[in-house]
Amino acid sequence: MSVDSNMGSHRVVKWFHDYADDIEAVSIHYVLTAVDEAPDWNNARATRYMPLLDESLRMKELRLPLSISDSQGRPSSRYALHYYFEICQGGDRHYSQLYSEEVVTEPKEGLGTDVDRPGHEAERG
Amino acid sequence: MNPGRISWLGGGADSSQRWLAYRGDLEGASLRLHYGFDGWQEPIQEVRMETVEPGLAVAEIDRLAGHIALDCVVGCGDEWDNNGGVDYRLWIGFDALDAHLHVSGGGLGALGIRSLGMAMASAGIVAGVSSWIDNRALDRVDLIAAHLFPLVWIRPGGTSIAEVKRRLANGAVGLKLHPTVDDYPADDPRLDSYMDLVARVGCPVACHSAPGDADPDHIRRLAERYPETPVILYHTYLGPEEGRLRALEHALEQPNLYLETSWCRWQMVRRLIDGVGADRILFGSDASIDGPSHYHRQPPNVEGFETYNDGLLALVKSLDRETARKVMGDNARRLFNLNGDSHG
Repeated sequence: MSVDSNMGSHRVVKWFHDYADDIEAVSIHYVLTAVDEAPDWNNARATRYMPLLDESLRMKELRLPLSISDSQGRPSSRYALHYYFEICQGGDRHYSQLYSEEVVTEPKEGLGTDVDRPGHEAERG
Repeated sequence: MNPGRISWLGGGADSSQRWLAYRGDLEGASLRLHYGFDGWQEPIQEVRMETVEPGLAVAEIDRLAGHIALDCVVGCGDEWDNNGGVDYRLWIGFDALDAHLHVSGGGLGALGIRSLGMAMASAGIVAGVSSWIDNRALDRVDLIAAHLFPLVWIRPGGTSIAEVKRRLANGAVGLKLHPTVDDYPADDPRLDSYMDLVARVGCPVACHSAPGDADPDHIRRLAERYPETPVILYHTYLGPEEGRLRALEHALEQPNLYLETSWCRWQMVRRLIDGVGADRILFGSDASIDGPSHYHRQPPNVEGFETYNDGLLALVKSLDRETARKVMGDNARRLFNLNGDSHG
């Protein structure tokens, strides 16, 4: 995952490697919550299509907020990103496992960019 | 058994007696049509079907006057062709065209072409306007055989103008925008090069409408920049009623905005028709997102309260014949420059 400060939002890059020839589309569904809170998929979900960069590698940059409110209503630059992939394959929809990770949006000067290896999620899914 | 196909033969949409054709696997001396009108209302009837040639049988149906739809299955001995369990429907007086369909390719799943065909047959949909998030998927489908007219899915900065030109030249009938999943506001200036192109070609743009980047406020601003191009609000706002009524207000003030009805309950569709006029409303369903039973899935999938098939019966019953024809297909045929009207 890579998280960068950029114009009032934070950029999180997600990759997906098509593992079969008959994959027709891939979308990422995600929800942001305070750390340790459960995601409300029914009311807070966002969905983004993952476009192909080449024949089988997909990438989407998620623009996330600098902070979200924690359970006490205080803005927090540490929060959780919950996400999964929806894969359309052969006319059917399949879903990856659910992933959750912590996002820290404070500037991390001097740190290198930590980018997922391509196909990381697909391999886990 | 492979699902068959049921259709009216010839014109005469307004006559009280018509020939019906069945093209399918069932055949034999006891081939018969089992049917009812207007959502299987009693009395349920049967009529013997006459085999014209292998795979084609016909039946003459009378007493159509006063009805709006025929629902049916085909039987032969103990065997039934009930379209995979979702039955067949034909509308009486018009051929319905769905202005909002999706097909992901030739696969056998819910989003594949076979599933969509079954769903369309279950709702009396004879043709439709279809798109998919990856344009290449439609290249793998025989769209003509399926009676589908494709849109070009536009991803600003990602879809080349050359590809759009090529697809429009090869049969695509308009553009599809989905600002939500593709992450851009509907009035994004990066759309202008595509909009300039369709303004020259003279075809419409269909845009997903929903809270956020696909809000009708954004879509109106796009329509204002291109007043000669029809801009269709798919779903007429996929969200709370406030947004639907705001979309209606925009349509009233911006004459190149059109409202498509997928996921709207029939009373809301009626309200839209009454509000902006029948010429600006297009029936659509988003099929077959819910698979072969998309139009009459249980539990109901239209806001959890009604099925498309039930809602359409109520809607069409509430409209005069000419208004029903416009909303159920003729407006889409006009906007997308398709052939003729629905009741030749």
